[in-house]
Amino acid sequence: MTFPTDWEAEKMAVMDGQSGHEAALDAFAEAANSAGDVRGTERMWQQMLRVFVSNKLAVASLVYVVAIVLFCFVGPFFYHSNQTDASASIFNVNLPPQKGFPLGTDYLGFDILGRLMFAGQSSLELGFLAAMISLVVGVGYGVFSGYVGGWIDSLLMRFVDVMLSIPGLFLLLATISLFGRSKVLLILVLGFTGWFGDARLLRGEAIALRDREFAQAVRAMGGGSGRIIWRHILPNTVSTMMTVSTFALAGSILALTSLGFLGLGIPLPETDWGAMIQFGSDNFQIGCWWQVYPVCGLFLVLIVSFNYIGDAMRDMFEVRLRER
Amino acid sequence: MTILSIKNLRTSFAMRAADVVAVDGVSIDIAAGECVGIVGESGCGKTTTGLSIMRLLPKNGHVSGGQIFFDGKDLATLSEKEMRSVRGNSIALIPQDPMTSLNPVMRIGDQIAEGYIIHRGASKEEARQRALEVLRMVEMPMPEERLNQFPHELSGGLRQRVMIAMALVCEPKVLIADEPTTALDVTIQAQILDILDGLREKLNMAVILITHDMGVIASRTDRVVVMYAGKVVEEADTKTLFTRMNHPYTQALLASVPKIDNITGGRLLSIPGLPPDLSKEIVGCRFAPRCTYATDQCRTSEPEVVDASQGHRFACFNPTNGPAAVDVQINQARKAIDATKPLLTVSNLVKEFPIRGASIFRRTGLKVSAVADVNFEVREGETFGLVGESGCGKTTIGRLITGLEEVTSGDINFAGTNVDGLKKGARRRALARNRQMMFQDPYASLDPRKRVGDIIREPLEIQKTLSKTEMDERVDQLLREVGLPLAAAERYPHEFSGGQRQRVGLARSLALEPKLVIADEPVSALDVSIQAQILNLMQDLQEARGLSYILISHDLAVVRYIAHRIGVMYLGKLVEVGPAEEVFSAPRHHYTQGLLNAVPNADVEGSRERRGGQIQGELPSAANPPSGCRFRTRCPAAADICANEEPTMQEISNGHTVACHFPIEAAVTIRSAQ
Repeated sequence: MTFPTDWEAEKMAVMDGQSGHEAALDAFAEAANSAGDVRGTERMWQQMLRVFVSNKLAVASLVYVVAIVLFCFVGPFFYHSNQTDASASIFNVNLPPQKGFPLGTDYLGFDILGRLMFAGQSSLELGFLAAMISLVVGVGYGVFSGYVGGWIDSLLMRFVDVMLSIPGLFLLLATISLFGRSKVLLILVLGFTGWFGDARLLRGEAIALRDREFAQAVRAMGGGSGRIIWRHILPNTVSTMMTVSTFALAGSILALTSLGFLGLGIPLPETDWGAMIQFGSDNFQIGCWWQVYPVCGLFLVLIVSFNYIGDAMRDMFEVRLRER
Repeated sequence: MTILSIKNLRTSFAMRAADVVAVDGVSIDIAAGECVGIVGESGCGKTTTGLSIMRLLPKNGHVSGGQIFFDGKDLATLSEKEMRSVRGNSIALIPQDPMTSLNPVMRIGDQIAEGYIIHRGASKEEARQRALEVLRMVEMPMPEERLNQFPHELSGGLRQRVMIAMALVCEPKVLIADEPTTALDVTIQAQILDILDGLREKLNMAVILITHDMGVIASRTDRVVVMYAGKVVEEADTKTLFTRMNHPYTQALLASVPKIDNITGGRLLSIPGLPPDLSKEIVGCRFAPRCTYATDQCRTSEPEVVDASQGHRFACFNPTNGPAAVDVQINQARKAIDATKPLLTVSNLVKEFPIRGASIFRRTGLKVSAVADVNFEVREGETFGLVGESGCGKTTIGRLITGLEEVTSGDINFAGTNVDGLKKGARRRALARNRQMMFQDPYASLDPRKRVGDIIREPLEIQKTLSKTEMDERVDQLLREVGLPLAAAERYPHEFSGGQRQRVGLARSLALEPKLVIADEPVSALDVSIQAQILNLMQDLQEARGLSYILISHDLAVVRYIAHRIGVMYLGKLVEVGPAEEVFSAPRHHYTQGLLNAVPNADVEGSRERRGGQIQGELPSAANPPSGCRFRTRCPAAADICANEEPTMQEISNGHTVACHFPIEAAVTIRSAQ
C-alpha cells in the first residue's frame, strides 16, 4: 500500500471541502504512518530479562546464589543436626567426613554441613541488612549532595573523602570496640561504615542527571526539585543502585567474615562463616582440612557470583543495550 | 584518471540478533582531484562506506565482499601491516567531531608531526617543520604559536583546521571527510570548506565528502552519490543531480530541504516513514514503502542500477525527471496572521554568568556577558526566529523566558499573567501554563524510564488543573495531533525514532495549551526528511491553536521557512530585527549579510555565485567583549567610531531595526526574492 506524503494527504482532504486543522488532523489519522510505526513490541521487563539471560555467567551465578540461600534457610528443615548443645557434641570433636557427618565435625564437635547452614543464615541476614542500610544512606546522601551542589556538596563530599581515607577494617574495629558486638549492633556498624563509596557514585549520577534536558523540562513545566529527584533522578539511578547493592551485599558479607576471622564476629553460640574459617584454619595444622575447604569454597564462589550478577543488572537497566 | 575504485562493496556488522549489512553492493569510482559527495539519511551507510575504505570499522564490522582498488592494490585484502602504510599516508580521514578527535594531553605540533614521523621516517625537527608548513596551508592564524598549544586552547573551527592539517601532513591522494563541518557554525563552516576546496586544487587530491547537508553538496562537490539503506540509488554530476534527478528518493530528499530563498510559510515535502531495518531481509526496492511512485513491481523485485546518460546512474523502475513540483496553492493556504498584539515583550534584558574560580573560596569577579541589553517583542500567533552562531546568547534568552535562568536585570513581560505577587514555586507553575519549551535533543529531553503517556501527562500532573479522565483524553488528543498512534502512550522513548521523539516533545510542550512555545533548535538533531515533518507539524499546530513560537536556531534556512519575524544575535546583542522576508532579502547589518552568505544553499547555481563578503575569523570571548560594536572585530565596514561608540537600535523601515553605524544600503544587496 502506498502512503501519501503529509502534504498530499492534506491536499486531498482540502479538496474534499474540509479545511485547516481538521484536514490536517485527518491527514494524520489517515496516514498514521506520518510518524512511522513504533519499533519495538517487547515489554520493558521482557527486554530486561533478555539482556540478563544473555549473560550466561550471571545466570549461573544467580542459580548459585539462590541455591545457597535455599541451602541455608530451607536446608535445616531437611537436614537435622546438633548446632547448639555443646555438651552433646563434645564426643564428636574434629571427626573427618564419615557416616552421620558428611563433612565431618569442627573443634566443638558440631556437624560441619549443618554448621554451614547455621552460620550462613547469620552471614546472609547480616550482610543483606547491612547492605540495605548502606545503600539507603549512601543513595540519600549522594543524590542530595549532587543535586544541591555548591558549597554544601563540597562540604558533604570532603566528609566522605575523610571517611574513605580511613581503612575500612580499622573503622569497623574502632566502632565495634566502642559499641560492642551484638547482632543488631553489627548490622548497624557494618551499614553505617559501608556507604561512603556508594555516596560518591550516586553523587556523580545525580550531577549528570540534574543537568539533563528531561530534568530541565520538568522545571520548565513548573515542577519542583522534589519531583525531579523522586520521579526522574532516582529512577534513572536504578542501574547504579542495583550494581552498588549487589557489591555492597558481597562487601558486607566479606567484612563480617573478616570480623569473624579476627574473633570479633557474632558471639557464640551463634556463628558466621568468618568464625568457621578462623577455627578451621587453626585446626588446619592438625590435618582437619574438612573444616576449611567447604566453607571457603562456598563463600568465595558466593562473593564472585554477586559481582557477576551486579554486572548483568547494570546492563539490564541500561536502555541502550536493550535496543539491540 | 580513476584513483580509487570501489566495486560491489559489502560491509556487515555482527549484531546480537543477526548480521546487518550496512553497505550492500556499493560501487563508486573517484578520479584524482575530484570531489565526490556521498549523501543520505543517517543510517544509510555513508559513514560505513568511508570507514570500509580505511578499514577502520568497529570490532563487530567487516568487509564481507567486493573490492576497493587503490594504486593497483585491493585494500580489502591487504594485511593489517600493509594497510597501516596506506592509512594517513595515501588515504586520510577527517572525522566528524573535532572536539573529541584530538588527544587532549598532546601538543598540536606533536600530533600533526606524528603521522609524518610514522610514514616518512622523518626526524623530530623535520616533522615539526612539516607541521608548521601544513598549519600554514590550512590558514591557521599564528601557526608558530599553535605548535606548542594544547587542543583545549583552540576553538572548534581551529581544531577542525588541525584535523585537516593532520590529514594532509603526508599529502594523501584521497581525503575522506566525514561530516567535516557538521559540528561548526556556518561562518566557520564556510571557511573550512573553502580551505578544503583550495587544497584539493593545489594538491590534486581526491576528496570524498560525506554529509547530510544538501547545501554543502550543492556548493562543493563535482559528483554526488545518493545512498539509501546501504545501496547506491543514484549517482550523477552535481548539476544533473539537482536539476534532472531520476530517483524518487533524491527528489524527495531535495524537496524536503528548507532553502534560504524559500517563501516564508511554504510547505516542505516530507518523506513519510523510516528507513528499513537492515537486519531483516528486504524484498523489492528498499525505498518502496516510502515512495510515492511505488508500484507492485517495486515491492516484489529489486531494480538494477541502470545508466541514464554518461556518468548518471540510478536504480528505479519508475524514474522521475527533475525536482518535485511543490504546489503553490498549498503554500498560500497558510492564513495570513493578524500579528499586531504583542504577547511577550522583552526589554533591556541582561544576563551575566559569574566565572567561578577553581576553589570554593575564590571568586574571580569576572563575568560572561551572555545577554546584553536585548529588546524585542513577540506578537500573538507569530513565529519569532532567533538566529546567530553558537555562543551568541540565543539559548540563554530562551531559558530566561521560560524561567530556567534568573534574569540579571531587565524585564520580561508576558501579556495576560500577573505573577508579581506569587511565591517562587507558584510563580514558576503559573508561568509554565503560558510558555513552554521544546528541547533540542529528542534523546536527552525525554526521561528514558517513563512511558510516553506519562511523559506527556507530567505537565498536567504538575499543574493539577484537570481531572484524571480529562488528562487521559488530553493525552490521546495530543498524540493524535502530533501524528502518533495511541498505542505510543504505553511505549518507552527508546522504542521511537528521533523524529517520533521530537513529536512526543512537541506534544508535551503543548499539553498545557500554552500561548507561547520556545523551540530551541527543534530539528537540528534530525534528518532533513524528518525535519520537514516536524516543521510542517509545528506550522499546522500554530494555525490550529493560534500559538506563538520563538524559534531558536543556527540554521537560517529553517528559520526562514517558518518564522514571520527574525532577530539576529551576535555575542549577546540583538543586531537586527525585522520581517523575515526583508531580513533575508535585504539584510541591513553586516553580520546578517555575512551569515547569509555563509549558508550553503541546496541549489547548484545560486550557491556557487554567491561567495563574496564572508565573515572571517573567530567569535571573540563573551567574558571580554570588544568595546563599542561587538561585531567590529570581524566587520568589513568597521571604522573608528565602531570601537568607541556602541550603535543603538534604529528603525530603518517599518518594523525593521538594526544596530549599526554603517547599515548596508537596501538597494545594493537585494537578491531576487522570487
